[in-house]
Amino acid sequence: MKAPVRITPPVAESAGPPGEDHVLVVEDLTVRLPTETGLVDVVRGLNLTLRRGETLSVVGESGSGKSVTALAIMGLLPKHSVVTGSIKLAGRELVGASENALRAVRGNNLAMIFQDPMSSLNPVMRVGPQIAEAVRAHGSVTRAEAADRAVELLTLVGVPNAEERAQDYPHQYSGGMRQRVVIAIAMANRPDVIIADEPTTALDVTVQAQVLESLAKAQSESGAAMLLITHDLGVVASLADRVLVMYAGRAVELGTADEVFYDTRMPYTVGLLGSVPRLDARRGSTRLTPIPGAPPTVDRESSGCSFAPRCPMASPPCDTRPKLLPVGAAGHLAACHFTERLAGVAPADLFGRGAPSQRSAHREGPGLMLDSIQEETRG
Amino acid sequence: MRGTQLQRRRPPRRLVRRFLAHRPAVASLVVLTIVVVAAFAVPLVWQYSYADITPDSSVPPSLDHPFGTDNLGHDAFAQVLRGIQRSLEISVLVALVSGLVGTVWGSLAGYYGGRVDSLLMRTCDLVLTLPLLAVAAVLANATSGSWWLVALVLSALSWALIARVVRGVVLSVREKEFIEAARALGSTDLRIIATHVVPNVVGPVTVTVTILLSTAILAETALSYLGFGVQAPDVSLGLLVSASSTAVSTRPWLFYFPGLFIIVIALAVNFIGDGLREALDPKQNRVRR
Repeated sequence: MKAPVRITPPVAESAGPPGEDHVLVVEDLTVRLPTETGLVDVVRGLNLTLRRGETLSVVGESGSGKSVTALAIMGLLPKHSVVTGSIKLAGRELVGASENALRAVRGNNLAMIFQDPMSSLNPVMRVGPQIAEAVRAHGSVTRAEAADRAVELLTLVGVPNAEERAQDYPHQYSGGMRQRVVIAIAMANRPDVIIADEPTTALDVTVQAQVLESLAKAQSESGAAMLLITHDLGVVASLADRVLVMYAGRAVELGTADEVFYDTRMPYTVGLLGSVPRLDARRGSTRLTPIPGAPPTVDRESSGCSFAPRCPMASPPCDTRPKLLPVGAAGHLAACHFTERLAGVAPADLFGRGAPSQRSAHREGPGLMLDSIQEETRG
Repeated sequence: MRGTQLQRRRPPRRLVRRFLAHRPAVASLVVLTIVVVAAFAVPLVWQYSYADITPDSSVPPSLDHPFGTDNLGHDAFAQVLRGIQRSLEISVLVALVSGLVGTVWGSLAGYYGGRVDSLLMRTCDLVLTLPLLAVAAVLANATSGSWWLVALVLSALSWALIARVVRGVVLSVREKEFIEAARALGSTDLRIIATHVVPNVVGPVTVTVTILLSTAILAETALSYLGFGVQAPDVSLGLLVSASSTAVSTRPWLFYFPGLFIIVIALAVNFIGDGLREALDPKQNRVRR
């Protein structure tokens, strides 16, 4: 089973000062990126907090703004992008900070693990020196000390024969091993926060688990909080304490992993969970339930709920955008007008064949529709 | 378990293997090595110095004077050796200086892009529009004509070639994820350029610099031939060819021996450059295997 459910204070309305152990506080983050058609909102008023040692997983479809959020926190977005709102790392404001200030933070307090270990290591530099480079970028250590630390880090992330393998070039490592090197580099300076942007996506399924294990070990060793960006719900289930679901640049559901997985209160999250194959599915009912349609393009924004066009529960109230409001247990937030009615709904009920979206044509309205869902669920 | 332990393989020296597969390059390397060693070692033991005036004037090649002598009695063999020395020194200095300047220049332009790039590369374009020989002739003439000044003048006109090549490679290298990863580590720009960008352009730079080496020999030859390069009493291959061009019909040995070495060195260097290019970037050529 997952770790015990943590009681989490409400987060979105962080009106009060964030607690001592909040190492990363993002408030009302908006990111606009320049495109051919002008500036486009990619992240729209995102709030999130990260406590020391915690793992917060950000999930969502491609284009939901996950990676852009990560890059915004790192301050690595293209020059002409516009970032507003507030990103506080251990009390230090990063939005609008000078490049020098950001550089001092990067790699030191804030580290990032990139998606593809094939391309995120310098091909012409031996692995050991490459890790040592990370150590030497901050703090004054001698070359020899940095080299020792590199071997130590390699051992820690589970590279066998670390001393010898430190002399190898990246192309002599396998994909999983390379990603461990990337993890070692990220934790080199014991950062407060590690941002992992889809750390296992580029890897073979068979080594994903090992790499995740290294990641978890590295995290506990360095005491870092982790922002884990992924669209692999299996990864989420194995690592995350809390989960933030993003859709079209907004947070649509936030809660502990258990809450989000077992007490889903947002149709989009329901759909996400329904599109994952399960080993424990009952026989005969193993059909996956895809979410119809495609995510909205970022350059067009309606005033209503951005998921409404794909949502089987869409109804007049959805023309106004739902706020991210507490539901159920403390700390569980969802942005939907019908959170109450979503309690206990299974993906197949919502998106499956014969789901309301297909039948609603001859129904009266959303009220009736939802009643029928609940009927079915109970039955 | 002991018995099943895998033999640890040392990194394959792929580069060397590929270079060795290129026959002309290997042959050229052998020839060039012999020429270079001879040019620097033989004068130490040879009975005449390049400046000696021997009693034999205008004798054709013989055992005593393998390349003959000129009308003043200079031993042509000693002079050719000296000429090779000078020509090699000049071209190596040109290659080093323009390689260094060009790499730094091109890296900065490619890495920073935007205005920095425009400024640096337009300067390059400007330098490249200058007709090499004409400008070098004027500059070299204005300076005293010592060999290193000739080399610096040639470097001043050829670094832009390297800068262009480097910039092109850096443009693709800087988009690689490991550059962003280095930025995410908080490395400064200069540190990134020095530790991540430059090592990744070493291959193309080596090739271009090698080719430049032979260009420099030819350019120095041309300059000296025109009378703007190395000045007598010093000797270079170009100067020798130039000085004896009037005697082609009467004392052909004076003209053909230095000429032969110019061709041999230039060809050898070009082939080596070719071999290096293939070894470093085998995709550019035929698929072996």
